[in-house]
Amino acid sequence: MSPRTQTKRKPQSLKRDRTPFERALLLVSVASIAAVLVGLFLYAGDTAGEQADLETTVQRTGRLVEGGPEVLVTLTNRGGSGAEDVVVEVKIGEESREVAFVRIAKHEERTAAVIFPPEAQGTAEASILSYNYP
Amino acid sequence: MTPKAGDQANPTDPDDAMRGVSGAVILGVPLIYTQEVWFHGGNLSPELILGLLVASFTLNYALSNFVGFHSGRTFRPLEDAIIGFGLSFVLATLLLAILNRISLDSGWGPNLGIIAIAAVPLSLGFALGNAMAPEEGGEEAEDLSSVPGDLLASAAGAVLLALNIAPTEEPVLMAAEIGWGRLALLVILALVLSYLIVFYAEFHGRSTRAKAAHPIQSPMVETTLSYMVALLMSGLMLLAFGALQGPDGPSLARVVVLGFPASMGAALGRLLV
Repeated sequence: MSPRTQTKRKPQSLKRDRTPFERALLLVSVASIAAVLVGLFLYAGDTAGEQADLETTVQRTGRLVEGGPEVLVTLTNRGGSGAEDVVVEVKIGEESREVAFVRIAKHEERTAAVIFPPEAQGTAEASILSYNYP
Repeated sequence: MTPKAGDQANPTDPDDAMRGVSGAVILGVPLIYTQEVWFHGGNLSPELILGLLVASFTLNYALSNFVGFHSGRTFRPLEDAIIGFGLSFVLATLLLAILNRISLDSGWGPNLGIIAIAAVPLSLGFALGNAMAPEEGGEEAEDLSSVPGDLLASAAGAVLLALNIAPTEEPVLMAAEIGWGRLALLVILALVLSYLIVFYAEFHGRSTRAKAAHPIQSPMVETTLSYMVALLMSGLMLLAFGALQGPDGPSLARVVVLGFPASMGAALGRLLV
């Protein structure tokens, strides 16, 4: 760090005369801070108490991978909050697989492919085992 | 109203603002290239984000007491913190819009959250602008003050800033989601900011650089060459991490996306020589 060349002066108050550039800079800065703060306060009022609303759907793709059926699992979040570490269980008959989604934002949809063994028989189903809030 | 003579001491001028912007970009851009910032910005509760903003403004105020973005001025910390904080919101909005991380479709609430979270590291960089490059340059930096030295410093700076982004999936993700128009804007922004950081902001060696006798060291040529070095280093880093398939459009888009932080690093490297 460069050596300090000036002695410490007493902090100045905001009340002082400014150049036009300083006035413009301060105006833009205060306006942008105010816009973000007011916006976040309003947003806080809008989203108070909102939660994630997660739904799953499954669909067989018709493809066989090493003789086993491939299933697409889609996770949809219709709620007003995101979710993390979502664990979805996909079942075909007695066979089950767990799929982990690291995170899903609100109003977002995520899809993953699951491969089952060749002996898996029956209808594909999915359910959410657990999730956390960010 | 005519300013009094005493009040005119150390006024904030465009050079100071540019120095703050330089610090903000150098320190804050890696976090703008981070998925977690986009996700948490859009999903954390607004109350928590407001708390984070209060804490980071306090930190900005404290930093402005000791460093700030105006060399030798630490006696106007509140005003400097307000300017640094406010301009960081503006800068975050600009960068996130160009990188397609905020849009009208996402809703104003999540957009504000992402802007606020991204602005925190930018504002800290703004408040540290004065410390980003030593007044006397790097040790034995004069040995590098030549065209090859400048390019070497650009390459080193580009790797320094972009190496922690290159192995992540963010450049690939962003490149896939932004169109050619935004990529062109990113190229222009990289060139303009690099030029302003090295030749306009009040950093070490600005005047000698601007007067350099060698035609290749003229501001425009040096900025363009340095950007090309940044793109080359970005391409090599992406290639090393297996993120380039070949000379195609998607690969070029990834190089340009990573080239932005790399060009900021290249500018930082040249500030030190």
